[in-house]
Amino acid sequence: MWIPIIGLLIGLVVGGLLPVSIPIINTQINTILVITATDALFNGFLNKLEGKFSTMLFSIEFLLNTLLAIGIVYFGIIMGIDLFLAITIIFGVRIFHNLSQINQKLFIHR
Amino acid sequence: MNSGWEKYFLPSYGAIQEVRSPIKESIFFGGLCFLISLGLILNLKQTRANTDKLIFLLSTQPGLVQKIEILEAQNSILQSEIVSEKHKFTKQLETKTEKFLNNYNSLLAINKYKGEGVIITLNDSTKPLTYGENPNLMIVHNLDLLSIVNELWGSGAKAISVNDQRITATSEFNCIGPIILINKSRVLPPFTIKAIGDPEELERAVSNGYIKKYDLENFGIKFTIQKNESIEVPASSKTPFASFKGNL
Repeated sequence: MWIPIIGLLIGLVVGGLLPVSIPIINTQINTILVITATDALFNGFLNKLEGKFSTMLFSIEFLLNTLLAIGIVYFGIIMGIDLFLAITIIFGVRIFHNLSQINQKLFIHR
Repeated sequence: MNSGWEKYFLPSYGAIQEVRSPIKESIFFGGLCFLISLGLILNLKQTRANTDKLIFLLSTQPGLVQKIEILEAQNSILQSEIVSEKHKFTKQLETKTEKFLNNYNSLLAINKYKGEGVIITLNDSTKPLTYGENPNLMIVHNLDLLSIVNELWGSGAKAISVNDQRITATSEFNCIGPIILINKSRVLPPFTIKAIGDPEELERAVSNGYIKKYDLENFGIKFTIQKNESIEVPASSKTPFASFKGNL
């Protein structure tokens, strides 16, 4: 339980201390990374509550999701279409769905 | 079948008994948390840099605004100058074309024509006839007038009138008995022919032309040529061609 909190703190410290301001990586792609990570977090937590969690599977799922989403957004940037919004909406819907499932698992079935 | 990486792609992955290791799981979640916080912080820094840039631009804006205002004022002045120049030019063009038009209208007998020239007067003879003399020789005929007018045209006259009848390209000299018809209006002696042009040239042409004034004077016809500084030849009572006014 404490490793995620430590990871969070390390991320904050590293992000604050890095002298990198990212015009090279587009802000949209960075945001997509954050959103897919959040989705994987919620999905993993739900599956852990259900007892179906597998580290390897969910890592691969997270990687594939991220790669595909970044690819689609990059394609959209190249073609001049705002596909970033589509990706954001899809992952947002997934996050809220997982959140409601977690809520049910935590407070109704117990 | 259940060996290697293929087992992860089975439809019911929950049935697979994987060795549970809580450290791995928490490392996974920790990595995710690390990624999320890193990305958020980087985005935050980016947006702050952007706002800093914006503030810098805003601080340099007042000078730019003044510059733009000055340039716009100059632009409006220049545009008004363009408008006035255009107006002047069109005025000039109008006056030029009007002069041109008036000149050609006066040549075409639409307008009256002023200038130096000669005034020729002709009148019938008052000599009493003797026996055997032809009375036709004692009066001025339409052909006499026509010959004089042709001589005048041939020596460079610009406008001719006979008794205030302007001679145009379609004017006629018709003999209808004791009177002559010019421009379908009756003309009676004494005739005064006004011609505008070089006076000396016109006088020489009429004096030494096909019809010599001495020939006419032999029959007692009164014939005078008078040079004049300013003669006004009236406009034609009819329009010889379609009017050019307003259609150019």
